[in-house]
Amino acid sequence: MSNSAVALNNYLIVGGLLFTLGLVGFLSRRNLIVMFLCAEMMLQGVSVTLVGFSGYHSTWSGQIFAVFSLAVAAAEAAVAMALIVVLFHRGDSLDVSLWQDLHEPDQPTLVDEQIVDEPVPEPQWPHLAVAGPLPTHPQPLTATHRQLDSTEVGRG
Amino acid sequence: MVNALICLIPLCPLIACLTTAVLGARVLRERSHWPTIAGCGLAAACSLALLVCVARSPEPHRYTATLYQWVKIDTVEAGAAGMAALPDEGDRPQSSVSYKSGPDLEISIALRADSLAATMLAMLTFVSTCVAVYSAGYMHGERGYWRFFAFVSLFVFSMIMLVLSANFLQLYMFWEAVGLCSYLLIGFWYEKPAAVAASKKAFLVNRIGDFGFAIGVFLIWTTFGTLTFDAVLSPQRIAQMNPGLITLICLCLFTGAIGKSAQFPLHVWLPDAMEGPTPVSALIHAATMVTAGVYMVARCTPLFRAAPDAQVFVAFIGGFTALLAALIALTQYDLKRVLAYSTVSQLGYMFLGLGAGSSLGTSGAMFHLVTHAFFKALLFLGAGSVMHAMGGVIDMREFGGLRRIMPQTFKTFLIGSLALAGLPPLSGFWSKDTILSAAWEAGHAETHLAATNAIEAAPAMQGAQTRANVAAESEQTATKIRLFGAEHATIYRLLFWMGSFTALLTAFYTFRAFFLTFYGPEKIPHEAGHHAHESPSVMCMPLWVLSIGAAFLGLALGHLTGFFDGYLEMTLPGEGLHHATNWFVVGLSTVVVFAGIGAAWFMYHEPNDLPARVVALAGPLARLSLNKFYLDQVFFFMFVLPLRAASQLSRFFDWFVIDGMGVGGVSRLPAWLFGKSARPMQNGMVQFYALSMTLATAVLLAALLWRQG
Amino acid sequence: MHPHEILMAALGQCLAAFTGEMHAGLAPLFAWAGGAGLGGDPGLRDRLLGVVLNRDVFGYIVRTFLILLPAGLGVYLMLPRGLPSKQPQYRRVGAALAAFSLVLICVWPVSEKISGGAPRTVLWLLSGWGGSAEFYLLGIVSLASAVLTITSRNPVYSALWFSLVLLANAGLYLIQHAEFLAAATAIVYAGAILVTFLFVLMLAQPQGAASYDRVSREPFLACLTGLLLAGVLLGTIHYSTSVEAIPNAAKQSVRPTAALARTQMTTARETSALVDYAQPHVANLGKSLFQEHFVSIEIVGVLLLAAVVGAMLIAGHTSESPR
Repeated sequence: MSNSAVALNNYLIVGGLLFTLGLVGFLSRRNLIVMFLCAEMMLQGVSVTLVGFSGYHSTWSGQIFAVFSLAVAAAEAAVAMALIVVLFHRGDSLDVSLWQDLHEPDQPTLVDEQIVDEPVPEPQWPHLAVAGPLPTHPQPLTATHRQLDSTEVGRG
Repeated sequence: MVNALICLIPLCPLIACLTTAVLGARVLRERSHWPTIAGCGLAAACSLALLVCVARSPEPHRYTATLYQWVKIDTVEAGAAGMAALPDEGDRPQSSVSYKSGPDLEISIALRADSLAATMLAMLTFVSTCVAVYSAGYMHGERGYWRFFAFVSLFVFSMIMLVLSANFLQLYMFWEAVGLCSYLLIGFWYEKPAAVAASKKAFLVNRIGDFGFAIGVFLIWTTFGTLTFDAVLSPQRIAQMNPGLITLICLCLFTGAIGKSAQFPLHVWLPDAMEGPTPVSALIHAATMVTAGVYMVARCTPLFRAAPDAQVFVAFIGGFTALLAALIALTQYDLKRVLAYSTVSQLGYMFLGLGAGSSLGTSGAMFHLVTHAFFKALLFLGAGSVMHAMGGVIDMREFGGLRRIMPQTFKTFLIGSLALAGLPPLSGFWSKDTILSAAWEAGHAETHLAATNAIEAAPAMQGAQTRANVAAESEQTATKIRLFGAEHATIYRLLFWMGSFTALLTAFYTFRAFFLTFYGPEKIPHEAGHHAHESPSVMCMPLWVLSIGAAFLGLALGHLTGFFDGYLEMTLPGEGLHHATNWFVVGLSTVVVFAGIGAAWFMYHEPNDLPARVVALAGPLARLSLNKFYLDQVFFFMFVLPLRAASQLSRFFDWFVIDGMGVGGVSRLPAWLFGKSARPMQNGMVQFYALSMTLATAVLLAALLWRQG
Repeated sequence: MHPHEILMAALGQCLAAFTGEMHAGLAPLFAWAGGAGLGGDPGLRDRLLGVVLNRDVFGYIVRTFLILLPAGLGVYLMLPRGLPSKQPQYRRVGAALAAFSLVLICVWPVSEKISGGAPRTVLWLLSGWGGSAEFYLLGIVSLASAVLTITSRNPVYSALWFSLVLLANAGLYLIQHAEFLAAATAIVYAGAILVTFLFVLMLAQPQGAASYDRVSREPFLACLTGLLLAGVLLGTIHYSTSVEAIPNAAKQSVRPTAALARTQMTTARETSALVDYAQPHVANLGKSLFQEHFVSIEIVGVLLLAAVVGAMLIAGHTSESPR
């Protein structure tokens, strides 16, 4: 077994694993963007394989193919991002489960298991040192955002 | 040289058709008639030249121009390959003759011109040219002007090819092609429901005949192993075949002729075909296409000569149709329909002549074909001229006394009517007289005519044994010659009298129509408006040209000079003896003509109550005639109604059994069996689809590797 | 010999021994399964055993499958499954399993039958430096980042991990002398595409961890599918490079020169120029692209343009009311 063959082997293994991992991600994740990332990862796996073959055969074909797949991936990303933005505007969510309208008419819609919402952690604002005395306003300041910030600061 | 001429004849209308079809709608528009007129005129000139060429040609009097080989199938030589592969064995006969399972099929598209075809061509192209010129006036301003001329050119081309066919398959092909053109032209005004129904009817009724024709062609191939006219139509070869088979072939071919030439019982389409434009009626449904059947039977004369039974059948159908159609024509009020029934009747005459079984009859039939083409085209075009002036009205009760308004049409129509009635010096007299003479002779000749025919054919065959066989067979046939229990001669005698009576009726109904149209008080339908006038000269000129033919053709070519008989004999050799004029027949038909015209004069030249009294006297007979012997109704109940019932039955069978249980059942079965379990898979979730796809891919790959490893 | 080579060799030997033992230990299990399940018919059992263990390709696949099993389990454990994010021990266990599997892959033994000579050939490490230390480093980074990409709860983290995958891959391309591709991957992918992703994420991501980011769909089935696919793919690769003589697998330790490759290669496209490493690469690649694949390049350019126009068209109408 020659070195070039081993090198090819290695690239094929890395490419295959990247492809498989992308696939697993695509199948299991529900975020549209993450799914798309995973699809890109599958493409990367293929590109790695192609480059490995290119080096093994000492020809340009593999690399050229990879260049093309890169270009196609870029085009795909552009369209997919636009689609995702539109979908998000429609469904107000990136959940892929929202888009299952194309099922058999009398089949029930797949409902995901509901989990308890994790409480959104309180934003941890930095504690700034008070750089001066509080202004002495007659009323407490609660009206605007800007003033809200200043109250926080003031409380800190 | 001559071959080039022959090729040029169909080429001209074909080019005209293509030009009109391609350029008509956009470029030519109102000038669309020029290609057709030019093409037909050129073809007519070539045909006249061909007429002369054929007359001067050497012995077989025939030219054949093969265009290309259409079909060439070498029958697989069964056994040849197998025997070659086997080692030689002592007891196996070492012959180079292979076992052929049948003859080779070899069909060429060829143009074959002999005197019969040349005659037909000359008539066809000449009449076409006249009709094309006439149409330029008649169809002026119609929508689809170019379409009309494209179809007409196509028809002329197809008809020329039909006439010039060199084999039965080509004949059949163009037989269908002219049928198609007829269909297209009858339905030219396709917005008119009656026209559409008529075109459909014509097409379907013709199918019945064509089916018989096709069977006949198949039978010819299985019997003779070839389809070329040269090979099939040789009397020596026919004499070798089984006479029963020949009779069957003849009957099948005649079925085709019955359909195309509108003989009883398939004549019902022709009167309805008058829904098409009048030039079409003149060209296709009077002069040319409907005579294709006559032409075909004349072409197959050697076959029919060898089948006396079939011949009698042809004559009987012809005579019967002639009488029937004439009876119907007596009471019709539609001018074009009178002419249509007259056409059917005259075609019946032609078949009567063809069936008479003598060269006199055949040449008489062909001559009648030619003269009829002229005077019937003339009459139709005259009727079209009347219709043109009357604003599309064709019912004779609606108009009358037109002779002063339309003098040209009146004169030419008179000539045509006289020719159709058969007044002595005009052309119709000569041809009709020849046919009646032939029928008379067939009725008074010895009964062994067919036998002598067969024995005459025999000398060409080698060996006395065969000859004796044929003679013996002929004797048998002669004793068997009976149809409907009557001897042939009796039938021919009956047919002669039927034909003579028909001549009387013909004269009567022709002049009935003539007087109703042109005599009596002047009456113009309101559709015509105030501008009822003579047709333009572009329409009148063809009328005059045709009327010259209708008047003098018989005198010039007919029995008096014997020119036509002699010309036709180059192709259809007859008994060789020149027939003496049968003065009895001549006298009878002359008397009959005058009687018919006179009766019509008394009854119709001015309005009186004579027709009504006659109708009252005839009672049910008149009603029978008026309703066309209820044949349409009979056919409706005999064929259409059962067919409709059968189609309804098939429809329900198709719905409930084939679709419902067969196709539908098969397609519902898996849905019913697996649908429940498979439907949840279609859940609309893209990840689920991807999962099943990749899982299946992985499992499949593993399975493949397992199998391979 | 470099010190790290010796280290790797030693590690490889140990692990090779371990995996060999594993095969040996599993064999009786198969034997028992075959015998018990099929009524103790020795002929059938032997045949089954032969099928499972000794049939060439499938034996390899089964072994590959076993090697990848921990990784599959680890990924399964690491995938978000709706548990509170404060309990990350599942993730840790999963990560450990995946790492173990990765190490197994690195020290994957080739059967003695194939290796023939001393030292025992181990696929990645000990094959006389078919690869390089850089390769192992980059490969491991790439795979590990990939695992983290698909298992991160926060999509922003996913995107960042994916950028690491891309950078590692760019390194891998560099090793194979694909400089242009490496640069393009780094710039176009990691630079442009990923930034677009992040923009969209910023636009679309709700506050906090969304529920759909915290629950995976069918993680077990997905991992099983991946495991099967990876087993089949890698097993076949393993088999084909171990057993089947590769056409130009001559016993040279040098990379085949262009001329040599030209004579030996039967699979290369004749029209395609062979890589001459003496020449500047990007220039040659460009020549090849714009001479042999000129039409394709133009078409791809048009495709990109169309995609951009399409994207603007699609995303331009976002004023529709949410449903």
